[in-house]
Amino acid sequence: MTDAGTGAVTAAGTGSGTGSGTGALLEVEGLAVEFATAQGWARVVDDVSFTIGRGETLGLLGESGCGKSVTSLAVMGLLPPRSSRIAAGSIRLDGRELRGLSESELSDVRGNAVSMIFQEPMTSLDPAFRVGEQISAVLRRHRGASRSAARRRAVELLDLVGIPDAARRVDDYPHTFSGGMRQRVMIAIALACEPDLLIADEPTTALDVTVQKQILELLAGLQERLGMGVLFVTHDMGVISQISDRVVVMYAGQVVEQASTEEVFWHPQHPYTEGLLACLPAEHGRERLRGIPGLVPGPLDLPGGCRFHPRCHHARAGVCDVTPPGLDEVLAGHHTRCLLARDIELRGIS
Amino acid sequence: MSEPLQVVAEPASPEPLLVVRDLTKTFVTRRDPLGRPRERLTAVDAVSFELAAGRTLGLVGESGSGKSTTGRLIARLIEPDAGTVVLGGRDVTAAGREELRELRRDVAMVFQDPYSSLDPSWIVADVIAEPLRYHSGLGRRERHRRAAELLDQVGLDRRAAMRYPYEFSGGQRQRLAIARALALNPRLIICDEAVSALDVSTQASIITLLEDLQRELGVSYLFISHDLAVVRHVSHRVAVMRGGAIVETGDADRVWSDPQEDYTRALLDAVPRVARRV
Repeated sequence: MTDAGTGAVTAAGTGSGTGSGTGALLEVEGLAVEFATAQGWARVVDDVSFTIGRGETLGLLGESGCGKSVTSLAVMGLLPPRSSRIAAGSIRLDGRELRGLSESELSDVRGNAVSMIFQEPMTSLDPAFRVGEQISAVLRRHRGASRSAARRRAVELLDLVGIPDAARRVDDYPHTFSGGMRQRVMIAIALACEPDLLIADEPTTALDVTVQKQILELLAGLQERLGMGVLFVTHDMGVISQISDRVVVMYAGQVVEQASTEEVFWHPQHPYTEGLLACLPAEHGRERLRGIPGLVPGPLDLPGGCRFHPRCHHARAGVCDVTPPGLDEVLAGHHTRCLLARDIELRGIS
Repeated sequence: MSEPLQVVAEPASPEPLLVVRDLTKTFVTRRDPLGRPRERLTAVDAVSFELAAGRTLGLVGESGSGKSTTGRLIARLIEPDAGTVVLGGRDVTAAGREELRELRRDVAMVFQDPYSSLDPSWIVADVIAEPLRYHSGLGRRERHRRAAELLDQVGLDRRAAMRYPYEFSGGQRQRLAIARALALNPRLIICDEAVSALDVSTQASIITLLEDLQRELGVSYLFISHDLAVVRHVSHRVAVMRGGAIVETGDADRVWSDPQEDYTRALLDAVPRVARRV
């Protein structure tokens, strides 16, 4: 794949659009997203900050309703326009501020620099068009490729994502592909313009484990070749531990912990992360699963103090229910939003 | 964990609660212009297994492996082409209308999506006591009394009885579905991906609830799931399905730690495990 190789050079070598201090590919800082409700604007993502470097995979972990998908849609500029708004913060890609860009500017960024894959490929693929046409459309729209060049590239891309007999399959319709093969087609479309950043929102959740393994290996291999940054959004701790360099754990709209993957799973510093790990069946034995009591609060009935304190068995009255914790660096490169982080001992994976 | 289950629930009789023999089901996947079958798919292919009272058999496999169809055949929601299902000494597959009615008391099902299996226009008390309408002579007041007991059993507040299913979270709805499944004191509950749609923290509490109920009531579970780690955790024995057939059966821990078949090994190898990394 010579083209893919060239893409990797462009992405990793030039470090083109400068301007940012950290040199990170994506910098999200103090992001707040609000949705319109009958009771006014509800803040569903609050003070979310993280960075992704070139060639790095950041895992965004959380249960449903924690704000992880909204965060990724905000980065893509895909939030529903009237019912939602970015209330604060900045999203910089390669030093360029994305917040406040017009729809046409954003659409340019989306095809070229950032692309996204979702959980259900069938709803993102148009059943009425051959897969080759759908890949070509991206190349013609964003790269001004000719019809024949786009088609050639479509075959290359299908080959790159491991679709057997790509030259023939390029003329097939989506429904003739299996679930795993459809997700490969989606990945081919997402990679068509050699994006610097790929956002993958639960891309393997609907797939069988053996197919999931193939897709994860494909993504990891492509990333290595193309030097993309990847934001991998999932609720699956096993998946995230395999694919991510660093992990961000979200709870009730906030980042509660952020560190290297090993640190998060072996030495968690936030009781929510500890609780999530205790929900996983152990490798050996049948220790009773502890779970996490209670429910994730909605954005309009957040508890005072720490948002996790009503469900936290480490919580201390007069402390955790009073003071909202900030996201502090408690160990080198390890951030947690817990007032007791320095006082309590938490259990990771053993 | 398995010890207390055995001690409490092991029945005096050695006869297994459920005996499945050569169960087979084909579906017509294509018909010719005259409506005659042209292509058939063997969804369940000569499946045999046994399940003891008070125990859990995990049925694992990928999509299309036939595990859900097997569950439906056992509950006789669909008719098998061949084979027998014997529950508590009675042949489910040969049961006539009246006998089937009785057998239906003994088998309950819990599905993946609790919302679609709970009538949204009924209050919770009516939803979970609904099986009693058809299988008992109880009036609405008595049924509601039983509903209150059932809510206790699944760890929900009795006040939930007068509310509607949509007012509950996914995990609470699954508790309602379990309460309803328990209404007639079944001997077997078929859990078809019953915890698959839930967040991990909720999943853990539902699994724990199922384990507690088994200990208290001695109910057996046929636990159908694609999640191998969960299946190993809840099951005493495991059957691995592929292409409609069982490829490996055995003690849950043994299958997990020492799979004998290539397919089981490949399946286990694909499970992303947190502890495996590094």
